[in-house]
Amino acid sequence: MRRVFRGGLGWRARTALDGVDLTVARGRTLGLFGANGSGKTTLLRILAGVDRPTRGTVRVLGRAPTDREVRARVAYLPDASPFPEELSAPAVLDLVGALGGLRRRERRERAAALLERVGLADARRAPLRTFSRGMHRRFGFAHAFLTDPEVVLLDEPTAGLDAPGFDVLAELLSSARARGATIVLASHVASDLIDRCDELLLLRAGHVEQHGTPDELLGVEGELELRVRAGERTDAADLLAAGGLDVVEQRRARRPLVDLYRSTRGLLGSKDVEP
Amino acid sequence: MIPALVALHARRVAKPVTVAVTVGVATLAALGAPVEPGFTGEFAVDADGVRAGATWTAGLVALVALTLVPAARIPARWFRAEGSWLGTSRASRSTIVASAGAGVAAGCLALTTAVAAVAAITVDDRQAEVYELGAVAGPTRSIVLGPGESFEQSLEGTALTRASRIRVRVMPTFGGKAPATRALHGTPDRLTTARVARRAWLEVPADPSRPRVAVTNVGDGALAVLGPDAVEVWRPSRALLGGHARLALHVALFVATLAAVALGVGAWMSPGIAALLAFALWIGARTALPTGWIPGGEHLGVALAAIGEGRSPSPLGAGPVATAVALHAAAWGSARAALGSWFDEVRA
Repeated sequence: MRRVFRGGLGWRARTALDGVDLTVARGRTLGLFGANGSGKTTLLRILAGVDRPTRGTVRVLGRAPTDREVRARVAYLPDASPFPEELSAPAVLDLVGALGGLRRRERRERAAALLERVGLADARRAPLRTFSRGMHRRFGFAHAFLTDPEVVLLDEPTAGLDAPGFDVLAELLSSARARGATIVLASHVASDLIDRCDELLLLRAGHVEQHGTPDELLGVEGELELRVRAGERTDAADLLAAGGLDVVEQRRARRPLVDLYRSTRGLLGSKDVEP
Repeated sequence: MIPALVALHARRVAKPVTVAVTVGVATLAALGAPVEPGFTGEFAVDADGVRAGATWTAGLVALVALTLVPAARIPARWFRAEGSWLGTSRASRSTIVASAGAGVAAGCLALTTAVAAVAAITVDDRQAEVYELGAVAGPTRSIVLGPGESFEQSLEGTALTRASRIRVRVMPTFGGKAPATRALHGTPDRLTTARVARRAWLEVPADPSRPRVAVTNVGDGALAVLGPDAVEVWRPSRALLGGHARLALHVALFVATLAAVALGVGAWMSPGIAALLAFALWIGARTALPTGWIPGGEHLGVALAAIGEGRSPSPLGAGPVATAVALHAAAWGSARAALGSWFDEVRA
């Protein structure tokens, strides 16, 4: 597949993607990464059917991405918030649901449930223009998962997201995977890629540089990392050393950041949870 | 069409601030217009008409200025951002374009209704009889009457009642001994003399038993009966809101069509240029094409003039409506044709 951005007066044509050839099996999660301008967003747009390759063929769920039946089964969340900023979150979800062919009652129920799930239930009356970047991301998740899509395309899903937002995304992705959805996400955040993806694809200047599992791309041959929980560092280190292992790094075990949010009253708003 | 998408685009054209500015401009025009009944030489000035005319003229200018750019900006929104969720929806591109176009038209209608409300509210004399044009007659060209010469027009076949009014368009012209002249006009048993010093209407009540009108130049100057259609027969009207509803339809058709053209052109170029080009196309069409068929052409001018005289405009004709439908279809087709892809690297 090849995508060339056309030139014009004052600027030259630019190749955004060239020679990209890949297959993602159903139910798998693919992580795209690469430097800025490497073609991640262009690839996602083409998979979503909102852009077209200059040359080559793209099939999503066995058909062209622009096919009406395919569009109804694909969700795409771009990097920036593309939604009408003058509308409230439920109004936009209602609109998106109507475009997706959902019945009025169904889309209202789904919208309310998803806004609760992404933590925006308290902001349902506010227009989107008043949202912070993180709230826009959370709202984008509600949009992306509104119609239970079979293919989810996420561009920088964790950009601007707070720690509880990471949990929200993880939960949504987990339930999507559980129902067999295929997920493609582009990110610069290592944890997004390593923890959530079955496969990684490294793009460089529009070319596929590497493609494989996280272990294939990032694993170090002959080395294994263990995570050991112990009461005292010295005990654990001594035991491991006695067993002939090198202790490369020692530090106090840390709880996830979101646990700190949960234990600090007010940080999670209405979703405050006791530790 | 998708009602939620129609509503979104209607709201984008008729934003609360746009409604406020339009109503404000129309209200200021109504308040600033001369409200005292006057008498300019021979003919009474209808104060309500002048006020309504000023309101509508100012409102029309505000409508055109405030609706074209938002309409032209709609495709740019698609290419810059909204294509990412519109383009991945089950709805077809044609449905999305039609919904946007219908929303623009609905927004224009809402704004026009606001101007109509201001115009109707500012009219003082609600009990006055309202007239609408019943028929036109007369030579296709102007006729010059020297001193002592007469012009007579039969109105056989024209529906006349005692309440009808007939008027003849005249003005003094070259060829006489004086710059102004006097005219004897009316139906045979109701003759009136008037001094004609500028372009004016000579108006008399109709006599159904004698369906004719005559004008005689009884002064020293030359008098021109201005054709075509120098003679008009006006009949009592029951038009809604004294004709303001009819004028609202004329105006809404014009503004909505212009906005639709801006949307269609905006799919191919920047919103500002598209809005200017749409307006320029309308100016060009008025110059080069039969204006009776153009929304915002001759019909709108006549309708505005009628309201300015305290009368009701004629109902919207089939010609401008047909042209408007064709232009809407062409504009929506243009926007649809631009959507080969929802992403455009040049405009994004």
